[in-house]
Amino acid sequence: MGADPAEDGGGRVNPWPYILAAYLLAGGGLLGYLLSVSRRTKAMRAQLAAVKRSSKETAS
Amino acid sequence: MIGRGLERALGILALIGLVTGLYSAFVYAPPDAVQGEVQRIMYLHVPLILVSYLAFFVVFVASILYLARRRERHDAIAHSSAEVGVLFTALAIAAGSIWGRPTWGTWWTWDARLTTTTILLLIFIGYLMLRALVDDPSRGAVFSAVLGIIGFLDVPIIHMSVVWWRTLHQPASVLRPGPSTVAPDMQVALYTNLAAFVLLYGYFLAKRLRLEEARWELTRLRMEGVG
Repeated sequence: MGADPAEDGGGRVNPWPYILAAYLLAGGGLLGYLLSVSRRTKAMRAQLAAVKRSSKETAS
Repeated sequence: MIGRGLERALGILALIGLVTGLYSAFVYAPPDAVQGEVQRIMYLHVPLILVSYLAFFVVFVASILYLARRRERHDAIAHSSAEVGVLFTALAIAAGSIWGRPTWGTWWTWDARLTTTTILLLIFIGYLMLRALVDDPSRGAVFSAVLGIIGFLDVPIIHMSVVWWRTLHQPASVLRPGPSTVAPDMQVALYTNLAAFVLLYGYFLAKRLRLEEARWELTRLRMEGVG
């Protein structure tokens, strides 16, 4: 096993890479989910509008 | 289901809450006497897992209501909350694993708390897969409502796992009988972040419900033979 990159020369663990990793991962995950929901809602609304449009065209 | 004004307000409040939460976690709260700076991950990990409990409690209640009354609205709430709950649980596990490496010396261990939380995540991933796999939306809603109710029963087991079994995970700091084991300054930071994540959950739920509304409308139109 290689040395942990987060360890400093004295063998003590530098906590900041772990703290940053946790917060960045959570931030990225939350933002990614928000974008995914917005994209899916947009796509669903476009589909809905297309169905409504086609039903109007059929009726007229 | 949730007005656009309320949704926007939740979004703004969640954003303000998260910024305040970050300030309280990194500036206001002192480093832990034993763990040092790395304990700041607690202000992320604990609110994430507590809000995932809330999300699955909402699934539990909405699923019972759906089975009793068969209203689309309750199913939409359960489905949306389950998806948000899966996200929060996955992030809580990831943050906990990152915290575990410098404190326990390992990224993962099959400790009772970690194992029961992983089971919860898998149950609700199964819940979402079940919904996607069943063609008839009404049958899918009934099956998943049953799974949502059973799945939530894992939450009290997770919470009590640190009491019932010998675990590496520390005992509950929040939602425990008696006085809190967290120092007052740390409690302020913890509860600020918890409030921010509850608001964020509300905002995500409102956003996700909009998608569900559109999906139900599309399904209804197709069943009526439109399009």
